[in-house]
Amino acid sequence: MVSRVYSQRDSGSGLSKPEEEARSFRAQDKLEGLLHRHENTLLGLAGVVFFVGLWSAVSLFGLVPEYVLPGPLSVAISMYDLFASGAVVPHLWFSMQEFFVGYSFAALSGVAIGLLMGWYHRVNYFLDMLVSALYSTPRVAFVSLFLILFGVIGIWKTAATVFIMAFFPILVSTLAGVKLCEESYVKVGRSLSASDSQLIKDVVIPGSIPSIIAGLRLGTGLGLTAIVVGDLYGAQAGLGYLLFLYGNAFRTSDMIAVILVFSLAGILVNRVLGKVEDHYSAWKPSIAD
Amino acid sequence: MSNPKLLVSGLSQVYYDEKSGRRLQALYKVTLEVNKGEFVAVVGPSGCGKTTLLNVIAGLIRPTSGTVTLDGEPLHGPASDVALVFQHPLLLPWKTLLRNVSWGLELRGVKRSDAAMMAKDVIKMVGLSGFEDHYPNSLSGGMQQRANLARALVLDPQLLLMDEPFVNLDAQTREVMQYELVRIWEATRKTVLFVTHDIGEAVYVADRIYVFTKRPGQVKDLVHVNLPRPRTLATKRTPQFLEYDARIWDLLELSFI
Repeated sequence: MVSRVYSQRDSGSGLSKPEEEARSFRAQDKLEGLLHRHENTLLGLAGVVFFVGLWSAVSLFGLVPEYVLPGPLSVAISMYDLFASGAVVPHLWFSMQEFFVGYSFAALSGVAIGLLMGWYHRVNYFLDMLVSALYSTPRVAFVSLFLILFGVIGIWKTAATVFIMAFFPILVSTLAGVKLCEESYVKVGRSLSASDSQLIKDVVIPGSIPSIIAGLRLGTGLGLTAIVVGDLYGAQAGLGYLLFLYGNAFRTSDMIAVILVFSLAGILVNRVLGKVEDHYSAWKPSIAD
Repeated sequence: MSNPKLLVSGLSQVYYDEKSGRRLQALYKVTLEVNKGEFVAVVGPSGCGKTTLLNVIAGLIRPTSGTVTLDGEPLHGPASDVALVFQHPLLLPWKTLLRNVSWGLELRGVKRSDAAMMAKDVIKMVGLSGFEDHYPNSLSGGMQQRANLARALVLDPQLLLMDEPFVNLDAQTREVMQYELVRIWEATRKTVLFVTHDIGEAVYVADRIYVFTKRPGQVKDLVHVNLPRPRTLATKRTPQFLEYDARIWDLLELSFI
């Protein structure tokens, strides 16, 4: 801003001193603007660099033996090999199917049932005990049941585990979102003679989007956990299976590479959810500014 | 005498407070009428059941006893001929101004493009042209209240109910909005029932004023306001205006005790 005032006032008078200053101002402004705009990303990268540095130091100084904790370089090489050799691809594909099937079911039914429970008191009372009981049960325990139900082969055992892990947080968050919904907006809708389904579509869903997204994020983390847990018993394929395979063979750096694949998947899904959230909260003033 | 547009007769409303187990009489045998194209105000002390009255007429609350008829037809539940302007603007924060105003039309199955056109006309009428794509939280309190009014006007209702729509605005904005309301009403001649506790506001906008007692709210008196139209803000400085103002104060003061 300052620079613009300067340059306007002195325009036409040749390269005076203020003009020069203005130029350097402008350059500085640009750099500062750039830094400011990407501050969050830069800080994030700095955090990663710091952690990797620490990790390198630990392995460089031989504080921990290489087969227990390999350095970042070995893991990077393992990661490259994993993809270059194609060894990970079928397992990744298998796990992606498990996740997609389980998570989609969990998201659709979790949001739908959460909305119904929030909107209709009777549905709420009907399901409340059931949901509370299952929500507080360690749901990992269902893995052995799914193993018997669906067998070892195929995606279903782990897909079901993903479902049962992700479903409840999504349901509970959606329900909380509906309950937080401003009652008076519903009243406005009623005065405009809106039907129940119109109110759910125009008021309740947009009003509970933040909670729904929060539930979907929680569900993502738990769903990815379920992929590992679901492969605990007798799995023949999948990233979890690969993890145990490498673990048993003490191929620690390959194992960590698989863990990183999980991290990347988590980041990816959360990015997508973030975009969805941005889309639905265009109306919100940014708190950061 | 012709039949009134809105007729409220013998309306009583009792609330039952579940916590204390006490019954609360909000309205007691209220009878009032609004003729077609007339601007009627209800003035009363806080808590005299004014908002309850509007909620009953709007069909949001079922009356304990008494009837409400519009053109002689009894009203049950929200009617498409009646629009309510709420005390708080209550615009949906996730919809733009335009979509907020056209929402009521869309709910009624009007095609979105047609609804948008009708909404734009009304937005222009309330002086918000150019803000169609703004979200409510980027609009000032006065602008939000204009939008609130537009949301009701766009439905072209037979009866417009207004619940202290300017009470949350600062004094200057309130004056401007009162003026705007009078201007819009004089242009459209809607049938309006306007509830307020601001006596000056009631005298300024209305043709007739029902003065209510404190709770339980009953009609205490009816005042005809014979101030000439069009009314401007200068109207408020005329001796006649001040006379009406004082008269209603006197009526109300008795019921404050």
